[in-house]
Amino acid sequence: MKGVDLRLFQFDYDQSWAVFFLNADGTIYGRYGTRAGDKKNAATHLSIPSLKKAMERALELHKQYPANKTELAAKRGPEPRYATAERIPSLQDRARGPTTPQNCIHCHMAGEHLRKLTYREKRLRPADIWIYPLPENLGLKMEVDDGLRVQQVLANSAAQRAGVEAGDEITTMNSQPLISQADIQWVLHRAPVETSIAVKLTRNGQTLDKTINVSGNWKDTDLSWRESSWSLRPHLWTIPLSADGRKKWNLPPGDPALQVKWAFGNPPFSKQAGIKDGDIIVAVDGQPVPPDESHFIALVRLNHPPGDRVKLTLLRSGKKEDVLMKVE
Amino acid sequence: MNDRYRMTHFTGTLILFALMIAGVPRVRAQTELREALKDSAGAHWIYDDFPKAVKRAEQMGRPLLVLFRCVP
Repeated sequence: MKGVDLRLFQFDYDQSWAVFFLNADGTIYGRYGTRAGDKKNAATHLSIPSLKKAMERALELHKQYPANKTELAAKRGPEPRYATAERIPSLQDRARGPTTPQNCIHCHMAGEHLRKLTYREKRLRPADIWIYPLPENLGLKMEVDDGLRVQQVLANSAAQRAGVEAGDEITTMNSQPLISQADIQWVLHRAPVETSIAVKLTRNGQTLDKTINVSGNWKDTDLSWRESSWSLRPHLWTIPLSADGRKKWNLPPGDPALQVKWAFGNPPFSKQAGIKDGDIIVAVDGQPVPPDESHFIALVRLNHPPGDRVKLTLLRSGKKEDVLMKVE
Repeated sequence: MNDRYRMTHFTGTLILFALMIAGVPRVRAQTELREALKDSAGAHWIYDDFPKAVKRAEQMGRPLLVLFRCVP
């Protein structure tokens, strides 16, 4: 990412492959590249046919340009804190010398180091953690080979309440023309938590307008696949306790529990607190532990600024034991 | 739209923009990076030179496709 203009190129930096379609004047036609939570398959939302579709849609936007310039304006993000990744203080040493595979600034580092800085400054917000929500966060499962055609509307979702149906093709969101699922993510990433998202779609040749109302925790997504999550993990890599583990420890159904897969860090605050690999966490600050690692990470980081201590309740030999762990 | 049409309309404006490199050892560093990427990009790619791609896109009136790839 050395020298990459972050004022222009804002995307989900945890991806290892991402595409922009642009006009030479810097207007963004669209993005392509979406990754979800499947750690074994990074391409659940990608395909050659949907890339071709995105290219065709970008070419169509290029044909219409500049008549569509106003609608495309919001595809550029706000002015970032640093114009290039190497200006972020903790990445400045990587800026020296020619880039090699060993010292390059990886895409994920751009977002990750900025977030670490924000955390150290005690300014971390939920929006820094829950980034680039998927269409599924609205209840929209899109056809992978198309990107914009709805394959399924999830029951009791915001999209279902808005009247979106399977087979619909979404053409714009908040007036932004779309070319791919990544474009939907961009709109959702930029949207506030409490908001209404204006959707234009085509159904049986007709153009329809729908409004998707969202609030609460709709932006929450799986963080575990993200490379940048390593620095967000509070010195602990955790996974939900297996069914066998639950049976072994007689945990009632519905009682959340996370198992420590790896206590790590330098300084090793988790080990200093006495936490070991294999420990079972059942509570955080006296409240039941969240059921997944992503919400555990968010809970600890958002409630405990650097230097603070978090109380974790462990289940050891059938007994509960509290430990205090410093976070940084 | 066939594949030839599509490629023609992006030809010359594709960029492999994984990294920006400067200085005298640039060629050696680029070679090392391209080997790491197992990159056999053809002549239609402009590797690691965004201003050059913008200039060519302006001259040809075509859009740019900018690709970011992670170096393994």
